[in-house]
Amino acid sequence: MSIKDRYDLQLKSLVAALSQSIMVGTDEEIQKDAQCAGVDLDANAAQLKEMFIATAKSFHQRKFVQARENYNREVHNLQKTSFQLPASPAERWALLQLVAAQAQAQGGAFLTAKFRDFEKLSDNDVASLLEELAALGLLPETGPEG
Amino acid sequence: MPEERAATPNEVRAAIDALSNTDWYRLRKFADCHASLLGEKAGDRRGCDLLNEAFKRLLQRSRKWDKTKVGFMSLLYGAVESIANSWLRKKVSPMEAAALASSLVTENEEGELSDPVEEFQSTAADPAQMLVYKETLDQIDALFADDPEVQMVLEALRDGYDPPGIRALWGFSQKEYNAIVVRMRRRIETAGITNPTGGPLHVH
Repeated sequence: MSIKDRYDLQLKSLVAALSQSIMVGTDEEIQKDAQCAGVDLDANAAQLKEMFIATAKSFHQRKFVQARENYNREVHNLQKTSFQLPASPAERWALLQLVAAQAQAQGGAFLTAKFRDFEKLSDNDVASLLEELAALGLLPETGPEG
Repeated sequence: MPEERAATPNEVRAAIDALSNTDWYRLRKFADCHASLLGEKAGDRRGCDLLNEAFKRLLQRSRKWDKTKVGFMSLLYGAVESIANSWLRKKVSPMEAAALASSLVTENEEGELSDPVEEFQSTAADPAQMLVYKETLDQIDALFADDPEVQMVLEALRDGYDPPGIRALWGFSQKEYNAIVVRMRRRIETAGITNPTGGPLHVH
């Protein structure tokens, strides 16, 4: 098929020439175009600007919704991996002592500060600390709930 | 080497606010011009839809837009052209094509968009679409029956000449060529071929 029969390429060539002239034309030329076509420049600008702003708003709202969904998913995943702590304070103490012993044996500096005042921890502190360790995946002898 | 800088949403907003009324009309004309290529493939979409699609792409990729290197309008011109070409080559609807095209488009270090679809010349032309193109070209030819200079430019364009080639072929200066193309552009637009912007946008 020669170019003579390729009306698509012929039209494309014409559109390329026209669009090039639109890009490089002076403001005065473009304003004259609008005048010739009977287009109200203010109305045109207002319509397109409104369209862009609505698109940007919708896009950013979608991003916000997506971020919120991601956050909810993360929270859900954290909840799924929460641990069933031992029921009694004595069992929780025993578990904490076990973790402390393992951490110290492995030179776990990250627990040192927490265990410095080990004896002063209340039952609530112990439970809270175990939950933190569980969330960090540092309770090797316990598994995920369910 | 200057640090790569990405445009923030606020900078995108500032770029929108900085456009003059003439810039907006220039963008619409450019998009209308490319939409006129689409024929039936455009469905009920027009130049402003093409422009909006280009803007969506910009938002999706705004983190990579280095506004110190590529102007807002240049970015939109490139995206409009790329989307129009993508729609033209696909058999799916513009909505589906836009989603597909968006996933294929990449940017170079200058922040310019590049669509791999554009690398391929269309080889299989749809006969019905080809007929629409022919009718559009005939309609344009008829508009300039009384303007031999435009006819000369049109003939050369249809023969595959680029603007420098046309100027050399017919001995037009740059200024003469520009004046002819402007004349051609205005009459085509006034005839409604590339200007479907009727209704409230027109001065009454």
